[in-house]
Amino acid sequence: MIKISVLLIIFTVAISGCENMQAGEQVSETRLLLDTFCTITIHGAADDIDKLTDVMGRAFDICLEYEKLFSITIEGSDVWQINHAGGEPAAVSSQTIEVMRAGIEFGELSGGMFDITLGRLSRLWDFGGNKSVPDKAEIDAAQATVNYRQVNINGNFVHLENPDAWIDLGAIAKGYIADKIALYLAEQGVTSALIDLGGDIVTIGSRGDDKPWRLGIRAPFGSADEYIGVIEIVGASVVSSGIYERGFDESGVWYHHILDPGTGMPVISDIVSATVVADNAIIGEGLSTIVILAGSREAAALFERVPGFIGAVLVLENGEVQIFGDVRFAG
Amino acid sequence: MKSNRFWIIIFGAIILLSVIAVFIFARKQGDTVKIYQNGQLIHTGNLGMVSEPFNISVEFNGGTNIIAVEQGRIRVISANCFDGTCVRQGWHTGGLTPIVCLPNRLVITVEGKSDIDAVVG
Repeated sequence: MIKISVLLIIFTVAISGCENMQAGEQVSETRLLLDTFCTITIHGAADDIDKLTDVMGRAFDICLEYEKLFSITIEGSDVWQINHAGGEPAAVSSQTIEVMRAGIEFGELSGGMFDITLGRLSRLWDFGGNKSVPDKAEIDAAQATVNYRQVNINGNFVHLENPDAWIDLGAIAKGYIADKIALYLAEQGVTSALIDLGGDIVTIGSRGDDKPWRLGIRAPFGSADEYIGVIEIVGASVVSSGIYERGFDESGVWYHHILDPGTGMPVISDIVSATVVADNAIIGEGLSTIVILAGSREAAALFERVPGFIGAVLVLENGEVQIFGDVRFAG
Repeated sequence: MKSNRFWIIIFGAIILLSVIAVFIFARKQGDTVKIYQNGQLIHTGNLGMVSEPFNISVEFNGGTNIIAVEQGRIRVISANCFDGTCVRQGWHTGGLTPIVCLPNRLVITVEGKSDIDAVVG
C-alpha cells in the first residue's frame, strides 16, 4: 500500500510541477525609447542575475546616449548640430561619423535611392505627427536639398555643401544602436541574448537551450498578432521594413514613410515588406529599406553585392512571398 | 482491503484535482493583459475571464484612446493620435507584438505562451 501511495504522490507532484523553470534564468526588460518599443532579453546562470540586471540597465543607457547623438529633433544632438551649422563644418562624435559613413555607402550601393540627406523631406512629411500630404511646392523645395554626394566628412567634422540640406539618420540609426548594445553585452560575457529595438533585432548565440531564436514576421497590414511565418536564427540580426508600418490614409490613398529621394513622395514599390537576415542590424536596416526602394526585380543583384547579407524574405503587393539566400523560414 | 480502496479514492481525487488545476492554470496563463501609460502599469486583467465586452477610455496629455475588451482579445477602437497605428493594429490575442500608441504613450501587452521569441515587421 505504501508503494502505491508513494507512486501516486510522485505522479501528482509531477503533474502540478510541470511549469518548473528551466536551467538558465532569463532577464527581460522593455522600455519606450527611440520612439518605439525596445526589449532586451538576456539568458544567464541564476547566480548572475544581479550582474545581468546591471548589464541590462547599462544597455538601455547606451540606447539613450546614442539617441541623444542621432536624433533629428533633439536640440543639441550631433545631427541637429550638422543641420543647423548654416553651411559651416560641424564637429561631431566618431559614432555619428561612423553611421554617416555607413549611410553614404548605402547611398553608393543604391545609386542614390538611399540618401541620408533626406532630412528636410522627412521632417516635412513628419509621419510621426502629421496626417496630410504636404504642398507640392514644399515637397519640391525639400526634395531639391537631397543629395548625399554634397556631404563632406573630414576627421570628425561634417560639412553640408548645401546649407539648406538636413541629415536624417533614422533609416539606419536603430540598427547601429542594436549592434552596439549587442557588442557591449558580448563584452560583458553574455552568451545568449536578444535585443529588439522596435523590430530591429540582434541576437547573441542561441536562445539558451541550444535552440535557435524564433522570430515571427508580421503580416503586412494584418493585426498585431498575425504572422506570415517564422525565421530561425542563431547569433545574427533580423530587420524588417515595410510600407504598412507608418503612414496615413488621405482620399483613399495610403501614404507611407519610405520616401523616394527622386520624387519626394512615398516610393511606389511592388514590395510591401522586406525582412533581411544579416551579420549585423545596420546592414539589415539599410538593405531592407533599399530593396523596397529598388523593387523585387533588383533584389537578388542587390543582395549579392553586400558582404554580411545572409538571407531575406520579401512580401510582394500581390501576396507572393520570395525567399533569398540562406534563411530558415517556415511560412 | 477497505483501507486500500479508501487511499486509492483519495489519491485519485488528488490527481483529478491536480489535472483540473493545471488546465485552469494553463488556460489563464495566456490571458493576462497589461495596459501601460508612459511606462506605468494602469490596468491589468485576465482576458479569459471577460464575460461581457466593455470599453476602457485612457487619457494622456489631451490624447484619448478607447480600448475594447472582449473575451480573449483586446484592441484600440479609436484614438485621437496623429498616426492611428494603434487602431490599425487590430485585435490582439496574445502575440508578442504589443499594441503601441506612441503619441499617447500607451502600450498594451498580452502575456501569452507564444512559441516565438520576438516579432519583426
